[in-house]
Amino acid sequence: MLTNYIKLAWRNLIRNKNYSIINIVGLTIGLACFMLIMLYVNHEWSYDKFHGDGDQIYRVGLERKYPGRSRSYAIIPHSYGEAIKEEISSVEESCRLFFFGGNNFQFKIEDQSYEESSFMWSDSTFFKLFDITLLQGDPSQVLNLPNQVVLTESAARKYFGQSDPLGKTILPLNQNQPLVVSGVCDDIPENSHFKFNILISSSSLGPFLQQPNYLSFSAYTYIKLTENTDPEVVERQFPDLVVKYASGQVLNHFGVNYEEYQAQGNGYRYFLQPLYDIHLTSNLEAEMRVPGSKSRVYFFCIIAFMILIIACINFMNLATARSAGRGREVGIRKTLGSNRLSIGAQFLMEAILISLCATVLAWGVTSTVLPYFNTLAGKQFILQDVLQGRFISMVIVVALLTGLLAGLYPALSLSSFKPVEVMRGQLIHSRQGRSVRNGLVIFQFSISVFLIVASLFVYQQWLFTQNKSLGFEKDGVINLNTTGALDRIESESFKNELLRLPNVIAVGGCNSQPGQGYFGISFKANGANEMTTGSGLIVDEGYIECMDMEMVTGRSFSKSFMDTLSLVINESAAREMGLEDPVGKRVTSSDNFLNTVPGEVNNYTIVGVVKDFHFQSLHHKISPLFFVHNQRSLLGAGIDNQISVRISSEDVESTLASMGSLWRSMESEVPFSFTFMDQEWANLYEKEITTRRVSSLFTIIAIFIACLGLLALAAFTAEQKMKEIGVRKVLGASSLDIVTMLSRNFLKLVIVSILIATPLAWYAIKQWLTNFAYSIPMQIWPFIIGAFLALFIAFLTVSIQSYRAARISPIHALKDE
Amino acid sequence: MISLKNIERFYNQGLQKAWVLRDISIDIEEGSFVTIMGPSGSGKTTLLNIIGMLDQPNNGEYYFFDEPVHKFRERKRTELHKHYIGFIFQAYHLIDDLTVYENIETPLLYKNVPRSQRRAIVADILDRFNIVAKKDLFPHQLSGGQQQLVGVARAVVGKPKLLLADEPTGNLHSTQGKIIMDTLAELHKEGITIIQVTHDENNIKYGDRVIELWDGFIKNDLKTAEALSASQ
Repeated sequence: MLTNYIKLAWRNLIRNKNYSIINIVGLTIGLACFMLIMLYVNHEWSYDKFHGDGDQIYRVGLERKYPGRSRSYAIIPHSYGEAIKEEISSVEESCRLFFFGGNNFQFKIEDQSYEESSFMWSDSTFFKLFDITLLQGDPSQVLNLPNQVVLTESAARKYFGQSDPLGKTILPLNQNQPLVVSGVCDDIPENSHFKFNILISSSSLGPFLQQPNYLSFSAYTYIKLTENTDPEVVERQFPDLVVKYASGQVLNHFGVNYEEYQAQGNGYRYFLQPLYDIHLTSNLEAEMRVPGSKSRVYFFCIIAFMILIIACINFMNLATARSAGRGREVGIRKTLGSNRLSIGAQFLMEAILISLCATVLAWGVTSTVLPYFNTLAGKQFILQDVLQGRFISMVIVVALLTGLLAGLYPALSLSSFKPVEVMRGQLIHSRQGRSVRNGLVIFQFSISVFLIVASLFVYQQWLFTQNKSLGFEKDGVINLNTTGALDRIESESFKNELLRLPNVIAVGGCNSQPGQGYFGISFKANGANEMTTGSGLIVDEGYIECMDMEMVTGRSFSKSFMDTLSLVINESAAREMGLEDPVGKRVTSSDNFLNTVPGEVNNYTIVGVVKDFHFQSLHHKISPLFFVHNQRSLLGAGIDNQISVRISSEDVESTLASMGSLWRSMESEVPFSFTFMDQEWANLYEKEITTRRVSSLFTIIAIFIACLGLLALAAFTAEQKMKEIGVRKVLGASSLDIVTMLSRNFLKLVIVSILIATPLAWYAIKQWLTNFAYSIPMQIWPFIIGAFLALFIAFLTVSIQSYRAARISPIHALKDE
Repeated sequence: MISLKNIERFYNQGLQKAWVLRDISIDIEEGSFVTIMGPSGSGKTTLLNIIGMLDQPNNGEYYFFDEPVHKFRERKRTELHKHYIGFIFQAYHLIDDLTVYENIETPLLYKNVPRSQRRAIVADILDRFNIVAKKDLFPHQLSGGQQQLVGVARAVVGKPKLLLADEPTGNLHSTQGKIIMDTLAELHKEGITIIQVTHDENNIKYGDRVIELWDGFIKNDLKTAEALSASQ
């Protein structure tokens, strides 16, 4: 029986080639999109899942409360890691990671210089907590001592080639202590929320870790709970811990006891983030890598399903539309004694066969376009990902479901025909069938209109982020990445030499560039009760001018002053500190590296206020920022190891060349390396770029598939109305009259779709725009464009068919059987 | 009114020509009622379609009111057809989705007759054909005779000079057929030119001339009386 079904289904496919092709092409594209998106989504979901005990591992996050507001951080004070482990019995293990974005690690191995951008510091417990396999070295020994490092396998190969790296030394530039390789571990998978090539023992960070600190944030702190521990129970113990450990330091620094401090609206709330959820749900300050986004994953899932549904609808519509033709078949079968079930099964088998054909084709398409999709989505999928058992089984399930979804309605509706009626050529169903078809077309086009409008907004928002004035001028700035290799004196003379080059307009030094992430820092205005925490940036005298930042009041750092204890702040910092007239005001900091003598608090004087500028992407509101002079910052946070050069747009090539030769005259070992700031800035919008590309591509595909269906349906309608068209032509209708008649009904459906999609799109886009701290306003014109585009495309599709129908000579149409 | 000269119509079947009409020359006066007869496949309907400008001859000349139709482009032909010619079909060919009223109104729509005039004209016709009560019904709610009556009403609503009827009673039983033929006769009396294609001997007597086709040729072209006596 089954082979009989398949045989009949196959013959039907061959006999109705055009319909089969439209069905299969539509489903193939739909399934291919679905597979690609599922690859992407799967990958996003898979983050950190490779850690076997990951469900017991949590990261401790911090919500820092200030009167009337709060900010949440992925980093917490470094002393809590140990405290939590000691105090809370259900915490099995803890591990701290230290990661300072934006810096490059420069070192020498024997006489060869290297530079590594991906490196972290970690406690010795790293390999107990995380499922990263240690290939060489003893897990309990590798990070125990200061100046030990673990390399990933590929880093080991890169730096030591075939020779055994264990026990070899790495000499960081600007430091005397060599690091010893104590282990080699597996490469960190791409789907991990942290990444390193070099892991350094945390004890190498020096004295700053030995001083207890419960106030300023620096450590990514992970804890592993004993099995079946409720994380909420652990979270509930944190407040007591804060009181116990932090209240002393609070009293010291703020001069109030912790209770009073909390009463003012300040406080520290620690919370746990499941390791598995970090990539998709956490978007705290100081994340190590650009996090994913659950809503984007959902958005892509929805698009994938939408496209698939559009393709299924094509199938349903064509199947039921043709039911008039197949009604006779059903009638004959029923008179021959076949029951409804077996007729339904027959039609269902046809649908499943088509969907399986489409799946096989879609597989081919997916494998072929994988490289292009990778560029589009910024991922590195390989053929093996498509061949994984899990993926294959998922695809098969989806294919069967697609077949069921597409075939069930036609099967039910066709198998219900009453033999006598269909044999007599009367189709009572046709009216009902038509309204279902209309509904489905409306559904398809609602999705299409929605997607068109949404893509327009995504594109607009992207343009806006690209063109919005940032408060500094990113174009024409070259960042030199390797200047950390120079010591302070060399660095000063290099900057001076750079300024002498023709076409170099300005030169400035800093420790981090806008968009790279700044370190956290807090200041307290004299007389104020609360600290203002913001971002810190170490700069030289030339930086603010070099970046074309605007001074609102006061002055920037200058060589004509003794500026070691001076501060420049931004407008937000002045506002948050409550300083109406900030210039000349004195502030203090509790951060160790700003108070060079332990225990002694230094007074800083604000000398100027810089106009707010966007040092983070436009997802973030501008927050307080403190510029610290480069001669003050000796420890911990690093120095102004980056140099920015503003050059004129003329003759960029030769300017770069002369900068390069200048570099080589000063430093022969480290290669000259630079980036254009505007390009780096664009990288901050990687997510938006992906979203924009993916959404516009899949919008086009969705519309294409919908139009494919419309084309077939129009052809079918024209065929069905052949007689009517003939009659009307005899009655004097012109071709234009016929095209209008046939197109009008379809356009009505599209108009209804527009009416349905517009409010939904309005709502969804409004929600999406709230993701941005700075966004475009809601506008009408994308809706108008979307509506017209949908109408235009639909009209084009339908009128082609209609015109063909209108050209047919009426005498053929009216020939009696 | 109509002058056909050496009309030929064939279809290409592979390398051969399948002849439908050969060397047809006819003149038809305004106000006449012509019957075209002949066995199946003799070319009756094709001739009717050519006269109705729905089909074009391969060779020959066609003058309609002395205008050379064979030289006209499609648009011009459609214009002529629209204003001068009404069609009645054996299978009625009413539009299923339109009511009786709307079916009759359709030709006027394509002639761009203003709405108020349309209403008056259609009301007139409905009244005349005694189908006012049926005006809101759909074709499938009517009997065959009623449907054909609507078909006739629709054919004449635009006040054509020429009415072409292709087996108008072919699908009807005799009483219904008689009603239709009586209606045609009445229209003829009012001056409209009618050309009908029929098998039915009973219908011949309504006309004044009989053209008999045989394999695409004109076999006989007689006055009705002569034709009737010849066949007896």
